[in-house]
Amino acid sequence: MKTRYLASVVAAISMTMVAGCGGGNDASPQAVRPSATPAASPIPPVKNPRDVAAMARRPCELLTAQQATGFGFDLPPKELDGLLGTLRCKWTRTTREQELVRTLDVTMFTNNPTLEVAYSREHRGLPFFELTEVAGYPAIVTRTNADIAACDIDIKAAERQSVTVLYQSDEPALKNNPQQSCEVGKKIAAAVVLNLPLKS
Amino acid sequence: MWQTLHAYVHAWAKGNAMRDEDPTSGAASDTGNVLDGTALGALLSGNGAAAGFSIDYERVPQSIADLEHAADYLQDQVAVAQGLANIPAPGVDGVSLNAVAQIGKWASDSGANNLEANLRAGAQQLRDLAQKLREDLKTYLQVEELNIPTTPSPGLPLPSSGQSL
Repeated sequence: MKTRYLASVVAAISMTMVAGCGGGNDASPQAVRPSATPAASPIPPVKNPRDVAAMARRPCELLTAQQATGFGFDLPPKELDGLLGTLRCKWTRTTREQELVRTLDVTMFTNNPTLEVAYSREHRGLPFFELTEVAGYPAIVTRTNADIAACDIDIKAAERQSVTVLYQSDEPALKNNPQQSCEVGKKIAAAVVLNLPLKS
Repeated sequence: MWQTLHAYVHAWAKGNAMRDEDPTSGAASDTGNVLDGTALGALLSGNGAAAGFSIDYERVPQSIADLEHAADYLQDQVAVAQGLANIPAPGVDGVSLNAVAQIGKWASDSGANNLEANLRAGAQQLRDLAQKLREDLKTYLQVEELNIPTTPSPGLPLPSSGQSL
């Protein structure tokens, strides 16, 4: 199943790349030379590191049932395979007519400089990009689609350890103000990161 | 996806005999006027009806469930695309750095030609279509709420890596 899953992702990327080349997009590879003296990281150091690895195989425990229902999600959540052998957890809220109201997807990375990579990527054209703090931890908050109330939040919980929270809402109230999804997403992200145990 | 649309439309050739006997009896006239100006109404009163196609209304709720299922699948892949954009280079050589930069750009970027944006947009379009079907079916059935199945059609399920806890 995992092979099939990865194959679908690779195939999708390949299709996107082919489409992009056909569209005349400037995707020609350009040589990138490593800097001899890397600039100081804009990501501030973590003051009270949390142990992401301790929860890496239990992603659905990053929100208690009480917290999940408090944020308006149905129970139980669903555990999913993530990228590079990681596990993710997804909480949703659907109506009786099976209409999806809101979604939360939480992924953890235990050996990845997620924020440093996210910051180094081109982000000038994004509808929203913010280097901030969530519950006292460095975080990058982005929105990639101006019309959809979806917010991506990467939180650095320790060196090379991070949590990624994707929140999307299809509530009518947010259709006119999709940026509000980041305010809700930050509150959920704060609860998630504080549920990680402190590193001893 | 095509299977879903096929299930939704569920077109079949109606017997010509009935149409010959009464040209006004057909899918379009079955709906009355309540669907005027709606997507279903346009389909029934347009080329579909003229060609002898109709809608199996009893299958529309299942089609809505199937559309939501397909949208869920696409939205699940958004998280994968987002993670793919933030993987580190395996080395500090130019090839590694460039490879990761290019993969990241195609996985998620501020423009339109990237995986994350297309997955989000695709999921949204499927949800919008499902919602439109809900509204039209409520109008047709003259009900306040629909009973939509919670599981997709047999044979439709897309690859899923998930499990309910």
